[in-house]
Amino acid sequence: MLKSITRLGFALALATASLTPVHAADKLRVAMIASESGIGDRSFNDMVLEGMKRAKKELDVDYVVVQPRAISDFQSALARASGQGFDLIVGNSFDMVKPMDEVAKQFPDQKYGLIDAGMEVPNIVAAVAKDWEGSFLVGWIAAKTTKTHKIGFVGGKDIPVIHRFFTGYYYGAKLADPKVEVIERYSGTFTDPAVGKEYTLALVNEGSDINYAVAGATSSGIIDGARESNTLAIGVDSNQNYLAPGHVLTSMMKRVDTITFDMIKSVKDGKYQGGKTLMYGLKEGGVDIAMDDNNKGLIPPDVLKGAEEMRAKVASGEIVVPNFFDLKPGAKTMGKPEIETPPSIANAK
Amino acid sequence: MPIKRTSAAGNAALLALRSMIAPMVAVAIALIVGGALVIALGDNPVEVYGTIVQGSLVGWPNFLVTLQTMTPLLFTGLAVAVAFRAGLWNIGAEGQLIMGALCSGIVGYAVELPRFIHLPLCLIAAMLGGAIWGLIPAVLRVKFRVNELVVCLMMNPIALLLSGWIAARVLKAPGPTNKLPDVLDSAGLTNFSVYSQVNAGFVIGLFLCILFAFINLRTKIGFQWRMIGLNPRFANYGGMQVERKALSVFLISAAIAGLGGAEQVLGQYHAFYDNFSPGYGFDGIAVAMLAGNNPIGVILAALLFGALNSGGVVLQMMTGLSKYLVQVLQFIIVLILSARFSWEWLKAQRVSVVEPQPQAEALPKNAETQEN
Repeated sequence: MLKSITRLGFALALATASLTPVHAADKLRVAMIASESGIGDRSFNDMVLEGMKRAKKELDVDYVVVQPRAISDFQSALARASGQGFDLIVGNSFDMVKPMDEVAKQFPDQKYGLIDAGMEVPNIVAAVAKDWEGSFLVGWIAAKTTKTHKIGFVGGKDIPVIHRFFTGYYYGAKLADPKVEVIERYSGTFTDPAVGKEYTLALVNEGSDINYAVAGATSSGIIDGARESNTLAIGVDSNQNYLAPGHVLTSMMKRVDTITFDMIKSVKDGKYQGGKTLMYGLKEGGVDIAMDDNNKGLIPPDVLKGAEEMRAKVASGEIVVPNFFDLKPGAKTMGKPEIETPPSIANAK
Repeated sequence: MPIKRTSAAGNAALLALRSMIAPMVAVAIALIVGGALVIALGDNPVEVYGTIVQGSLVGWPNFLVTLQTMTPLLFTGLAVAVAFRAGLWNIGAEGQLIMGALCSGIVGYAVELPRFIHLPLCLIAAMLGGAIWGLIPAVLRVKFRVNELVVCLMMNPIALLLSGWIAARVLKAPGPTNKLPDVLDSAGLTNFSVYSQVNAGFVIGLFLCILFAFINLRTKIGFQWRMIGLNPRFANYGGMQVERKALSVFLISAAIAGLGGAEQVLGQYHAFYDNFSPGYGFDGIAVAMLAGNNPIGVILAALLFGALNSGGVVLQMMTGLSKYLVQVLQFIIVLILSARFSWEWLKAQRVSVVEPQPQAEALPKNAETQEN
C-alpha cells in the first residue's frame, strides 16, 4: 500500500513539474522570508509586507511571502528560495544573520536584503531602522510634558530588542530633565491587551502619567488603560494615535515599509547597494513621531519646537543616542553627551 | 509486509492493514476538505498538492528539508506513542523537549571534552533533563493517582518560562537574541548540506523508532507495557508490578522527548534558543495518534507531517498561498482521528459500565483481550 502511495506521489510530482507557473520575464520578482512570528504580528512582518504591497503598486513587481515555522527553518527557506530565480530575497530578523551569511556564500549571484541587522557581504544589503533615535525623541517629549515627573515604559518582553527602545527612551528623558523618574516594566507578552491594561493602571498608581507602549498587540491595552485612567500613552511602530484620540501623546513610527520599498526600488533602478549596511535614523526618515488631528494640542508648542531642535542635533551628530547593542556590559555611562547608565541596562548582558 | 498462509501471520497482516485504514481515511478526508478550500480560494487543488509533493520529495534539497522537519516529530511522536500505548497520557512532551534541549545546551557549551565523550554526555544530559521533567507528573500519577493530563499541561508553560528566564538572564550569550552560548564543535551533530539542517539526529530518531518497534513486538517488557495500557487491574492480577512499570514507561517516554531537544540544539540551532520550538511536542501527539501508537507508524506519520511543512514552504514560494493551508490539513487530520478516538473511548466506557466492577477481575482472559 505504501509503495502505491509513493508511486502516486512521484506521478503527481512529474505531472506538476510541467505545470510550474510561468512568470512574466520582465517583471521583478521579490521573495519575503518572514520572521517566525509571521504575518499578522501588527509589527515588523506586517510593515515589511506593507512595503511589498507598495512596491507592487508603484513599481509593478511581483512578490511572494514565505513564513517559516521556526528559526531553524530560516536557512532552508533562504536556500530554497535562492534556486527560484527571485531578483531579491528580503529577510527581516536579526536571527537571519547567520543563515543568510551561509546561504549568500553559496549563491553569489543572488541578491539578498536584510532588515534590522547589519552585515557586510557583497550580495547582501542590510538596513537598520534606528528605533533608539525615535525612542529618544519620544522620551524627550514625554519628560518635557509630564506633570508628575514620572514616566513609564511597558515592554512586551524582557529581551534585548526591547531594551534598545528603553535605552533611547531613558536617554531622551534624562537629557530633557535629569530629575524625571523613568519606570521600566515588562508585560511578558506581545499578544495580550488585557495584561497591557493592568500594567498601565499599575504604573498610573505609582504616579506615572505618560507610558510608552512597546509591546506589539499588548500595546492596544496599554493605550486603552491610558484612556481609562485619563493619562497619556505613546504608540510604537506605526501611527497608533487613532486608537484613543486625545490619550495618545504621539507614536514612534518605525518606517520598515519605506526601507523595504527603497530596497526593492534600488534593485529595479540598478542601484542595488550590496555589501553595505544602511542606517535609517531621524535624519533619513527611518523613524519619526506621528503628528495628526488625534494628538493635536497634546504636546505643548514649545516642547514641539524643542523636539525639532533635538532632531536637528541628532541629525548633525551633536547628540549621539546610545544603541543598546553597542553598549558594553557594565558600562557606567552612555551616549554623547554622556549620562549615567541605569542599572537595568548596565546589568543586562 | 508479506502475507504468509499460517493463520497467526495472516491475522497479524490483516490487523496491520486494518490499523492502516483509519489514518488513511483521515488523510483522505483532509485532502478532500483541503481541496475544496483551495478551489474556494480560486486555485487548482491538483496543482497545489502537486507543488507540495514536489516541494517535499522531488529533488535533493527539498527531500533533505523534509528529513529536517520530520526529525523532531520522530522523537516527540515516539515519546507520546510509547506512553499512550501503556495507557499514560504524556502530553507533556513539549516541556520535556524544552528541558532536554536546555540541559544539552548547557552541557554542550560549558564543559570541554573530547568529542567521543562530549557528544554522548550531551545526549545523556538531554535524556535526564526530559526524564526529570517527566518524573513530576509520573510520580503524581503513579503514587497519588493525580491525572497526568492536567499536570503535564501545566508543566509545559513552566518549562518554557523557566528556560526563557535562564536564556534571558542567567546564562545568556551576549547579543540581540535570548540564547545560550553556542555549543562547542565537539558536541555538535554534523549538518550535511547548506539546504537543510538535517543531521545525525535524524538517524538516531529513526533507530529509536525501529528499536521500540522491536521491543513492542518481540520482548516480554513490550508486551507488559501493552498489558498495563489495556487493563491495569488485569495486569496487576496477573502478577505485574503495574506501578513500577508505568513509572518506567513514563520516564522512558520523557527521556525520548528530551533527546529530541538535543537534536534541535546540537544539530539544528547549535545553541539553546529561548522559545525555539513551534510546538513539536504537540505535533507529536498528532503524529502518535495518526500512527496508532505504532513506532513504525510514527516514522510514516512524521514523514507526512514533515513533508507537509517542507512542501508548504515551496508552495508559498510558487503560488503565494499562505502557510495556513498546510496547517489546516494537519488540523483536519487530527480532528478526524480524535473523533474516532473519543468514539472508541465511549465504547470502552459503555463496556465497563455493563460489566460490574467486582466481576472484572475474575473474568476469563479472552474476554479482556477481545476488546482491542
